[in-house]
Amino acid sequence: MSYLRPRFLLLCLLGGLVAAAAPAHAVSRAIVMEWEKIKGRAGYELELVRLTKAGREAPQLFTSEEANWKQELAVGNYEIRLRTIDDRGVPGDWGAASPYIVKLPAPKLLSPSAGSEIKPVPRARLHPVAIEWEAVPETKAYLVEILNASDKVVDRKRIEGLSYSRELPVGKSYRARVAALGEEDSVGEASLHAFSVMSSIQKTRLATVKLNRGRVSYESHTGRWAISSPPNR
Amino acid sequence: MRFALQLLDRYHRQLLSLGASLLCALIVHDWYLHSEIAGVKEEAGILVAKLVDLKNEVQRRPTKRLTWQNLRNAESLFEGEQVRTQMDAWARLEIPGGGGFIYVEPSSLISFDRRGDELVLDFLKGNVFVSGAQGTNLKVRADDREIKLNGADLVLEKKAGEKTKAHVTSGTADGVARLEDPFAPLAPVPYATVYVAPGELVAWDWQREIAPGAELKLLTGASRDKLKPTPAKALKGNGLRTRLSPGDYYWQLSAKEKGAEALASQVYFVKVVEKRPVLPLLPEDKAALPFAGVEQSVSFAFENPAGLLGVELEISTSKKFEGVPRAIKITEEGSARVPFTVPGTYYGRYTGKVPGTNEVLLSRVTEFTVQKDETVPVKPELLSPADKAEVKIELGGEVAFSWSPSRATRAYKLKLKHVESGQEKDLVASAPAISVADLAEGNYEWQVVAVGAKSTRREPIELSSSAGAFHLTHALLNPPDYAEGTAEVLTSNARGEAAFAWKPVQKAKAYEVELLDAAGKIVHGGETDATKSSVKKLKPGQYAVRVMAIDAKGRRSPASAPKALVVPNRSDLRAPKLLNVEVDE
Repeated sequence: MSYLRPRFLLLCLLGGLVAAAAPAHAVSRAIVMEWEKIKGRAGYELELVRLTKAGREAPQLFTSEEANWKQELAVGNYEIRLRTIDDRGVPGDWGAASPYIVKLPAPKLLSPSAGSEIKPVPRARLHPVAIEWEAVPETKAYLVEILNASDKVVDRKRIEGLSYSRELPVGKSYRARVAALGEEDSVGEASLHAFSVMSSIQKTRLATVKLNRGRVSYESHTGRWAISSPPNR
Repeated sequence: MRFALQLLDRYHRQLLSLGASLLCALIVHDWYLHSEIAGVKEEAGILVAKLVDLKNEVQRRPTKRLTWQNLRNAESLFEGEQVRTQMDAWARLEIPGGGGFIYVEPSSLISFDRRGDELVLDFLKGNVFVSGAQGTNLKVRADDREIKLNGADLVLEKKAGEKTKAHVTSGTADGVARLEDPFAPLAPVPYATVYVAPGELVAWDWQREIAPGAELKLLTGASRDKLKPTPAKALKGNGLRTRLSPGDYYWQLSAKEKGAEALASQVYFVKVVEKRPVLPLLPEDKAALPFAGVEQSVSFAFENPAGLLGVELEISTSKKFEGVPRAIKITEEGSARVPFTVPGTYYGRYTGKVPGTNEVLLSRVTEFTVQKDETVPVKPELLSPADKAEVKIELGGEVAFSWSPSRATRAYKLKLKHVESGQEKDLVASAPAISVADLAEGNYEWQVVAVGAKSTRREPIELSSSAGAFHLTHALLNPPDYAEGTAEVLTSNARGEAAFAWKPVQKAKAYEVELLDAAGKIVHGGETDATKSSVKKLKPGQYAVRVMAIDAKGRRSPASAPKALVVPNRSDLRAPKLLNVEVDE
């Protein structure tokens, strides 16, 4: 294991250099990989090939003495290959390449807040809902989707801003999904908030509580009903 | 006991003096013996003469010595030494370089001195004959008188209390009168040696004519004072012949003619020697000599009773010595060793010249056979390792020695010497080959000795080969081969693990395995006792492995050929499944 160290350090250094050489504007994400342990190994070698529109970039090699690896990776499409290094420092054959996409991070949804119930104006059939989010660095466009209760996309828009608004029928539940669009409009991770636009005539439905034991009391300071359990006998 | 004590008490002084006398005698005897042996060597100076013949006790006294030492034949005499003869002894001395000689008669005393180039003979007493050959720078000093010989022959006589009488017998010397002899003898030459064949008469001739009918006598004797008439046959005029057995004689001629005074010659000396050829002793006639090995050296022994000169041994395969016989000059007195390389029957005889003549005497012929002896071994010939060979063996391997077989051999001794350390090994083999292990690297000398079977005739014969030499190195082990079925290129599994093996290498103690990277650099290495190895956790790439065998000395063999090893660049661990991806907010 010890004689592997210089090679390991060298490869780490090279990997670091390659990582450092990634485009300055690229958004990177900390990626953690895990793989199975191989008996008799002295270490592992990891090859990353970034796939771009222009083609395959030069492979980046990383080594690890353990069966896991963590590294900041620029957003993009990758192929990952692994191989085992024996105690002589001699690597075995590469395993099959696994594709992996490092996506842009999900934008933080500001509105509607998750689980919010939007009260429309009385008697309105439609109600405008504004979807707002925080910017994802180095991102110019976002994909905004509104899904209905059965996860059917009712609206999808490419927005080059940080908000989107549209009227939605009242009395229904929705989910807003916003994802950053990267180069070539690759879709990053999405933020998803459920919300509902309440009916203009909203009936308060009280839940029926069947008490076997304990009692129900109204807390005037919170305005909520509370259920207290009786002491055990 | 009591009686013995009484005797001791009574005669103790006598016993003490007797013991002291005995001790002194032993000391003197010991000193005498030692001085006789070592004295000459210690005081050897300039050589002046050599004793060539003697009879009975002749002695010398070296310079600075008080004692006399007995002389033996062929001994040398040095400057300053005195020589004396006992009553019944005589000596003949040769003066080197000129052919002159000195005959010292019984009861005589001389000494030698050297003055510059001159050799001075001091005549002190007795009778001496000096033959001063031309070229001999010899002077005689007698009674403070010096006589230069100039090649003349001189007789000297000095009796006790009298002055020296000196006369010339041949040639002239300044101031010395000629020895007057009414016979003027011609033969035998005074003081010469006469050689006679068995049954041959000794001839006396002289110049003076003796009238027929005169009473002619030849007196001979063992000394000047004991001359007796010897039967002789007178010839007409001036000669006579007589039969003399070999020996030393003083002689004198006398004649009494009618009406005249008796004539008497001077007294001379002659040595009569029988003309006897060399007497062969060994090998015995008809002897069969075993021919052992490549060469047989035959020992010859003989006697030369007549002192023949220029003795040669002639060997021929012809009984009649037809053709040119093989002639061997005899350099050692009485013996010779002659090598034979071809078995066969040979004939041997000796030739020798009678001194003073050109007459050559032939010895009897000895027949002998140098025959192959199947009961003795032959000299082994070294075969392997070849002489001066470079021998390479694996560590812990054996060196094989071999040599030509030898017949009638009970065993072979291999003598092996490690030159650098001087360590020697003696090994015994029953066959003409032996393998020797645990030999260190370096130079070796070796030799094989064939040990013959025991026989009733002789002790076992041992024949040595010529010496051989070689240099030994321990080869490295062979590099290991990879095991059967090893892929041309090794491939590891997806975890970088690979294993490989190799064939064992004999004598390998361990193996070294190396892993090399693509650049050939060793990235891993290690030893193992096993014949396999594995690698793990290799990173993807090109590698190579190689193996070396390690011998007992820890030496690495050459590496095996590198074996390529490929490690795949993918692990077999499966890819993990992505479980979850999310944004961390």
